[in-house]
Amino acid sequence: MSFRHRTLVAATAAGTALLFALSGCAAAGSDADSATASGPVTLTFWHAMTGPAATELDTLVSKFNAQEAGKITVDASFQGAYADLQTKYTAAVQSGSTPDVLMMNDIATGFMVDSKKTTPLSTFTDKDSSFDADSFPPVVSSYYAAASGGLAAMPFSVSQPVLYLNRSLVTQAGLNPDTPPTTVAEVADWAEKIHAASGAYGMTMNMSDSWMLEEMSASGGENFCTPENGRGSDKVTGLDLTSPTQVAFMSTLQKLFSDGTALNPGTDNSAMVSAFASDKVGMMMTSSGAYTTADPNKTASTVAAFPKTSESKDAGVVIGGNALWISGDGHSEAQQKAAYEFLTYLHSADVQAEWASATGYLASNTAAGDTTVGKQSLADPNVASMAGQLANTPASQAAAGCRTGAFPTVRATVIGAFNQIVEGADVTSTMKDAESKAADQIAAYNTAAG
Amino acid sequence: MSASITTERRVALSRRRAPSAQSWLRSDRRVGIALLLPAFAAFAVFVFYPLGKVFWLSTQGTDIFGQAAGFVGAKNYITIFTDPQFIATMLRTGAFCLAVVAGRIVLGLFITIPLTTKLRGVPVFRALLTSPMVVSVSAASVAFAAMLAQGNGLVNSVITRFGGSAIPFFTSTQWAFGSVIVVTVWGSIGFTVLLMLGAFGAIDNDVIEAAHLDGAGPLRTLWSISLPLVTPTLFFIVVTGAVEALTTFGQIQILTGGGPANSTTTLVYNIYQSAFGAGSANFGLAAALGVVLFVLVLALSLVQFGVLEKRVNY
Repeated sequence: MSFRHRTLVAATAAGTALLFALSGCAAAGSDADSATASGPVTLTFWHAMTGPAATELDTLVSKFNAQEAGKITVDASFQGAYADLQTKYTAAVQSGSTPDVLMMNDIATGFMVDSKKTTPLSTFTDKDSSFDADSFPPVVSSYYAAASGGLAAMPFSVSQPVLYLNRSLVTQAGLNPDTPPTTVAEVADWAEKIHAASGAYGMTMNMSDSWMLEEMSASGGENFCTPENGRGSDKVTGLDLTSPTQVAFMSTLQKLFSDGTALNPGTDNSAMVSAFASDKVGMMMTSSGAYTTADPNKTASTVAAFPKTSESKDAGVVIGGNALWISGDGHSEAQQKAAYEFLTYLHSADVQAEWASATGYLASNTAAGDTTVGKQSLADPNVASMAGQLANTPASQAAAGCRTGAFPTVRATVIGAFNQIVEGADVTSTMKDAESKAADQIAAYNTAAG
Repeated sequence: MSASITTERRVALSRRRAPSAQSWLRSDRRVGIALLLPAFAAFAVFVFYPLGKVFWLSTQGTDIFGQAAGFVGAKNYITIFTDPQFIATMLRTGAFCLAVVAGRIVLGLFITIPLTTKLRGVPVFRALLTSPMVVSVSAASVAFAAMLAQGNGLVNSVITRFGGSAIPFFTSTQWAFGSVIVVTVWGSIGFTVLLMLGAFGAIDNDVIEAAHLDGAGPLRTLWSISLPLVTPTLFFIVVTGAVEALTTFGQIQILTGGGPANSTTTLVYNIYQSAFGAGSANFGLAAALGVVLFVLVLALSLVQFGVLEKRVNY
């Protein structure tokens, strides 16, 4: 074989190897224990927590295992970030080895419901007289509501977007951080003053996906998806991105980004938070969960409610975070019951207070604030401000947020369009294009979901 | 080198001219086949079967778990070729490939040629300039992301300190594509320089001396003697570099996620997004894109061997 032929074969082999890499996504195995009804039950639990949250989750699991010794053992394992977790879960569905309990992030809710591989939480809570359906903040129950009534999954980690103010930069601009801006228009005004006074960026916000635009739609009482944010009887078929409220706030943001007042962090959310923490940005709109990294000493910032974009009574912000799902198909009744036990433990007021205090998530049990740990956390006015926003968010369709399994895909489409807008593209026509592309993507998803 | 190829061919032809009915049974053949079997089995399992499966998957619809959900004919291909974004992605992939390969060759030569001189301290520079080779793509990308960040990055801090305005390296459609190219070239320059140093080092000194004796200056020697003699290596860098650039993934994932506004989405990144991006699990579409990439890599390799190789001196 000549050099030429050998290299040709090698090049072909390289191509085939690449294709192999793309197709060879083998199913991740998990041994779903088939426990007998009489013996102790072992539960597999897949999660996506890292850092302090992972440590705390392991502590909670150990406590539960000690409490249920001889009856239930939870075997928790980290499966990667949410996207990886979802990929592994789909592989597990294919190979019939799903975990007993699965943690899944907020926007995967539509996918989880469509998958029909889990048993709705309401199946268990309906039979449990000790379960208090009112122990959740209203917007939390509406986010995870099951079509049949009750909850589809157990809300576990809850977060909301908030507005962080850098006290020193705000003060330097002659503004009072104790009377924070309440609308996006005011935020823009403040941002320009901060930028003019200090040269620092006036504001920043997450730009890695369309999350902030979804929140600003909700904070104007506008649905992001049609029909009815997927909360009615019909599936979502499209996005609504061009209402007057939406065009108005996008135009405001367009100006801030294009004149250099706002910092565009791109896909790097941690760089955004560190820029805020090091006095490079006056205001930041991001998750309540960023508090501990944005302001490690809890004194340099003021946390205010997420700004509104209209005076609508439906205005409120959508929750984020994750929920816990109980696998149905292929899991025994004993396993599902044990899984429900585990979930009610994680929802208890004490555990939620501890979880919130250790991780920066907001407690999903309204009674958590009355526990000792909960009271300690709420002594920080910034934490109290976040908890207050959560409690006061109306359970409106807008604040419940959009539910579609195509959400992750359309998010990329919308942020792509918004990136063109911040560079000067026309708001309405660009978002019209995004609406039409998203409608195609949603239609493709709906076909796949059957 | 061409002499040896002809000898090889002549030997091969003479063997073909003397066939024997039972030749495949001859013991050395059997040993040969036995020795090849393990490698062939590995290829079958890890290359041929997946390759076949990709072609099959590309004709299938996909359910939300990524499972094949029935024959759809050419639907996935029609989706790809009727998407206006796809043409843009292909052009972008081509531009990326060209820029990275050109960058590697030009910058590689600029670095290597001074390093071939016998000046003091050259070994130190050789070691330093080939060192990017040992840095993984992910680590390098994270470091570049931190250095070039707009809010808190080192480079922008220096620029703003001297009165300039911060450059949105990864967040503007004007800059992001170029920034990813620069990071990619940086990451591959170490290996490029190493290959080039080897090639320049292998040039027979007598040839260079003969050129000097004939009155050729350093530039003339470089252009007419050294460069033609290293063309096999340059060709190797072009071929492997093009395939490598076509399959770039890590930098894009870490630095820009294909954005802003798709300005850094290449074909491979598009495949990843279709298959695994945010749990979309559209393996049918991803497989069809994979087939497109396969055809592209194959065509590119054939063209390179057909056209470029004619200019190579072996």
